[in-house]
Amino acid sequence: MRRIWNKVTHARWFPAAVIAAVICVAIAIFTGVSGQDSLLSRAVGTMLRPAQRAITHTAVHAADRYNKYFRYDQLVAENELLKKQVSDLNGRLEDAQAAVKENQDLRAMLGVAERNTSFVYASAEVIGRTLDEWSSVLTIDAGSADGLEKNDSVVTPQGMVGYISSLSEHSAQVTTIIDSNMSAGARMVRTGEIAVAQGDYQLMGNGKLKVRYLSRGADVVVGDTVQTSGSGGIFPKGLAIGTVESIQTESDGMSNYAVIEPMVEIPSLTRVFIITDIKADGQ
Amino acid sequence: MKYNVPSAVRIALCVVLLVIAYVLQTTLGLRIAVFGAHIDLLPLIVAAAALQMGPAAGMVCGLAAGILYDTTGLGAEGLYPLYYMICGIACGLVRGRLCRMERRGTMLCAIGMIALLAALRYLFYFQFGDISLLTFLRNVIVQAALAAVFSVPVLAVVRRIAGRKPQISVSPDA
Repeated sequence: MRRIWNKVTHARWFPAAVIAAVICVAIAIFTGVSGQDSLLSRAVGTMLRPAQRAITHTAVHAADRYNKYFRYDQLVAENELLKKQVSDLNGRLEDAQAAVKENQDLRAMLGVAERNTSFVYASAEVIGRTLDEWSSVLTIDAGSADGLEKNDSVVTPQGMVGYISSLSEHSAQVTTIIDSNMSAGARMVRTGEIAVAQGDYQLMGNGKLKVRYLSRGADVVVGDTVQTSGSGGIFPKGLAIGTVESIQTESDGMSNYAVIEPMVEIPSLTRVFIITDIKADGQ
Repeated sequence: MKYNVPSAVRIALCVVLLVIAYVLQTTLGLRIAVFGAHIDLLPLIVAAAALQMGPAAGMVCGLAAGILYDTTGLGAEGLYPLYYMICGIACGLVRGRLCRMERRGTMLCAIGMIALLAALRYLFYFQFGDISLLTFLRNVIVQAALAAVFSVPVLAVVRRIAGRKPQISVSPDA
């Protein structure tokens, strides 16, 4: 043991290792306390971003070509299915518009002000994904220079992706909804039941998350849709999270939780939208 | 004519290899998933470089690998570079004992790095959560198995960069 210690301390690289260790500890303390990225990781990320973007573009282009030549029949069938869905949705849209009109008329009769919220979006491309086995984090090619801020919600037209957990000037990290660090107020659309959507390490590997603190007698069935409830102040209300896949009882037996299949297929994401501003109008 | 490439250049080439592996893994998702666990080439490259070129190479490659992990924004920075630097130095220090079994040595070092990091994360993070120990162990075992399989081609590439020939066992009769 003593021989190894002498060998290490007398090696030429030992002073450099000590200096590097001190710098690493200092960076860890700084980033842990301030919550900001270090200059080094920002510089390295900036240098790698063009390569990540170029490879992502090439991969997407190659995938499109492959789909065009080898999955043509599948694409035609998918197109027909989507046309039917659009037709069905158009019918439902007409019914919804009639309901909205009736709602407006009734509000006018009662003298109740209408509440509208609209979102301001920025778009970004996914250029990287986490290497770590214990987290689900995406890297996007937009940052503070594009109007993004920490904790901004990240979405696609299908639903919620996650939130901005850290950012630099031209890139940002998005912690996804299946990450074990993610937690958001949730609401069952059909029944209005309030719960908490949380990432879970065991479910993350399968691309799923859970909705916890459902009462034992909660009216939740497979197929129910889950949205953000707006509580907590980070995620606005009404973002689609996913659908209920199964319902289980917690280990303490006091409540249930639901396993949720996200609306968004996170492994195949290439483009996302970030909610940079929420405008609420009152009349 | 043989080219005598300085060791600093060889170490720099290993760092370039780390960067290439990182970029490919994070963009193309060049990660093979087996039972939910993914292969990660960075610890393998660090172990192979340390065993081929010594503690100094292990230190530099470990630092570089840790810095690449930090760019993905996984929490407080500086811890991954520190961890992989120490692991790289440790692998380089045992190089003499493992010189006759390069492949097994690379496998063992890579598996050790992955398992130790997983254990540290479990102790300092997941103890506050409700993760099942069996699920955790299963993932670590699968990751270790993947590391063992992929350490062989990684070692071949790093050996080329280090300019070393594979160990050939000599028959006593020869």
